[in-house]
Amino acid sequence: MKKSIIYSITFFTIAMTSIAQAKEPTVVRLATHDSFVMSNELIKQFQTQTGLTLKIIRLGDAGALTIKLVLTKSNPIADAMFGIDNTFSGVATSNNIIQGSLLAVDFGDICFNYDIAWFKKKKVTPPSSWRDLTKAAYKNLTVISNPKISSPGMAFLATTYAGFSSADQTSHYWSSLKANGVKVDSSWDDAYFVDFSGSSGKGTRPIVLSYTSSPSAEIGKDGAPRTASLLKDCFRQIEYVGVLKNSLAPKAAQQLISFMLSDAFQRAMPASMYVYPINPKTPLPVEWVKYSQAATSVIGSNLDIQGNRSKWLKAWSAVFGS
Amino acid sequence: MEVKRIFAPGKAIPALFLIFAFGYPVIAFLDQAGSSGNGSKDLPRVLSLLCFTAFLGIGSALLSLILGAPFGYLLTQIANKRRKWLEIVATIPFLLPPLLVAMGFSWYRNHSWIKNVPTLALIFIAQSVMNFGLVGRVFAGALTALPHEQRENAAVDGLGWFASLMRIQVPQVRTAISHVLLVVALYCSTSYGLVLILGAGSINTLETEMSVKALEELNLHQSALLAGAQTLLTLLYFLAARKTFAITQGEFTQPDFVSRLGAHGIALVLLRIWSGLLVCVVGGLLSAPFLSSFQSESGWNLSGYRGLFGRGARDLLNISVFQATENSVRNLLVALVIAGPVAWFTAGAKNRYLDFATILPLGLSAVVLGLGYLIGFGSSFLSLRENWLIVPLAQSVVMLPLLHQILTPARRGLHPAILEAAELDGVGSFGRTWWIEFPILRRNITTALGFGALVSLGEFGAASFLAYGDQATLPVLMFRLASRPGSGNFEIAMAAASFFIAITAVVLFLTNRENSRYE
Repeated sequence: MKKSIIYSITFFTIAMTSIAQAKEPTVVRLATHDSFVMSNELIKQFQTQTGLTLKIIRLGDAGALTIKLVLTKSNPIADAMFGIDNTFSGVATSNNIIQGSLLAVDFGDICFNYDIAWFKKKKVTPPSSWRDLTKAAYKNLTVISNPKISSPGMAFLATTYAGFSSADQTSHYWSSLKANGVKVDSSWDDAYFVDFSGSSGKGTRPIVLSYTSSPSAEIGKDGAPRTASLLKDCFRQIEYVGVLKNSLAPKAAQQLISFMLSDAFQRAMPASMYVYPINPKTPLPVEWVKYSQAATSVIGSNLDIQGNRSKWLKAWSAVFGS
Repeated sequence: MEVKRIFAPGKAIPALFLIFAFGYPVIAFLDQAGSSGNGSKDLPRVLSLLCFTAFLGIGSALLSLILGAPFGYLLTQIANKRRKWLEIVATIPFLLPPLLVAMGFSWYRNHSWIKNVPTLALIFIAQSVMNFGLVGRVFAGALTALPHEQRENAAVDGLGWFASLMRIQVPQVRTAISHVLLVVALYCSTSYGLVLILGAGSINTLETEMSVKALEELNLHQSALLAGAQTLLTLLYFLAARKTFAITQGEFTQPDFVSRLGAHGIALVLLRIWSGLLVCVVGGLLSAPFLSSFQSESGWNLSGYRGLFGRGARDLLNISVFQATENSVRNLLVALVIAGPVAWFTAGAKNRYLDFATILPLGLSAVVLGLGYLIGFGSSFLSLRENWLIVPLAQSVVMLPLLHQILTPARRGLHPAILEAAELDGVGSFGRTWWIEFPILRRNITTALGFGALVSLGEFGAASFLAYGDQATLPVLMFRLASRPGSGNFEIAMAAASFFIAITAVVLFLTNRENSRYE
């Protein structure tokens, strides 16, 4: 009698385990950063196409997303990931958190924007590159975000390391920029929406560190753009997607990745997240074609940003005294 | 001897709770940091940050005392009804998320002469404006509890009001002051959002550095070292507060010439001006999000408030602000059910090890707690991470020190003769708690529950790591909306902040009204 009970329990346990293992979950969890946006229509479209339920888990900025995925890799918090960028991709790869490889899904170009009306009114020629910002004509005109706590700030710091042949030259550039009255804000929001004169904040500085996509959001009532970008020597930030290792639903995660690389999702990205779709065949919105073209040249993307971050910030702090 | 006593049920329950909800996740984080192999250690940098953080914490606490003590004294001199309103207004900033206070100061910095105030000075001012109300309230409460005869006898002996205050009353309330300064110093030392927003990256503390090392540089070794330094700082504060307590037995000294300087009436006028200025600063601070919530690119309108029912501009959020408020209210109720009894036990335990262990979470980084919960409660045998209960559990740890600090002086100050008499009458321990302690300490319990509820409601650090998907809380959504591009989202964030301030004011009002009934 005792034996038969034990056999029954064992059989039942094995059967239940097999059923549980065989059945692919119907919910797919996507770990992403706070800037991720997916419209209700796209969510519905994905769920109808696949029969899966999508759960979006926002985990902070790209750095916080990466560290949380690394720390939970043995029992991941999600099945798929969107948003680890080229500044953190090395960490994701070296920690082996992705099943297969990372796939590029979009990109954004970090560069300076300027207030067209301000330069016209003051009869000053706008700068042609970030290298011009140390010139006397642009004294007290520029605002950037702090590289210590802002990703555009960090990207520009990387750009300056790529743009000069030695670290001393880079430090000299930053000293000149400081002497020329550059303002350092805590975040991109503060720099763009408070201190920049060309956006809603109506600040006092006509040059701001932002993105090549920003001018498309600054179209006046007359249909003309209020701002323009310096398209030379920008930093290209590439974002990736991938299936997480040890995912409970790898097949479903793969379906989600395929959807994010599909035409429907790629078309929506400029309007929803202000980034360029990675598929060059995807048509851009009309305003983007007119006023928000991608950079004409990019630098710095091949640098080991994660490896150099601490060293660069120390050198930057030596100039800015913090 | 004291270690043995910890196995009594009144000590074992809180000890087990602290081990499970605090010790285990912290150890899980440290274990992961030790095995990660990422990053180098920079001990001199840690020591310099430790000193600066202590300077910021102690300086802010002392400044809060300088602002709050005169305010507290004024509270003892005015009519009860006006006193209640002043208490409510002055305490609101303490119970708001520091992030929200920083956003208020930041708004004024961008729109007024405040932009010329040096960054470090602005942080000191913001921290002390946040905390002076609490200090004043505790100071006033402690002074009011002293026997009237003392002051009357002192006056008969020819002692002026100032000498009577400084020589007789203040020495007797130093315990309460040291308790509240300990809390304020710890809050100011671990403040993250406020230092980050107002410091703009130029001011670094243990907390901000830990966040950068863990979440930007992925250097867990250095993060663990910084967490250790923060624990050391908590221990030092704790010992300093105990030391202050030990030297509180003030002596009755003779009056000197200082006591005869100035009349009490003139001093009260000055105090009224002083307190009026402070209340104006608080009023201005609280009105910043309110005014911003009506401003949009198209002029003044209610679109921010309409947005509370939606998912933000461009469907940024998973749930609406109102749904997040429902989550927050549910979490605070559960967190109170967990932390309330634990704090009651720790307050009555009279065990210095348990006292320190209870206060420790206040000095711990939200980064360590949040990551510790993600790692520790994500393992297959203890998988709580996906459960909504994980947020109130973490919040119960965060609110425990405050509940403990409010209940401890009250429970331990209860005259032993009252309880001994009940024991002689054959009343059991449960009966003593229910029939004697609860009614006598009802005021303190109500205050503790009200403050605890608001701490949970405004808790951002741990929730930002654990409350994701459809479990997001109100402060998490406020931050997400405020930090995303687009004026539409900013208006909704400001409307949510105004809503939060209104909830805080209502809870404080209800707490005060309940307390008035028992007076």
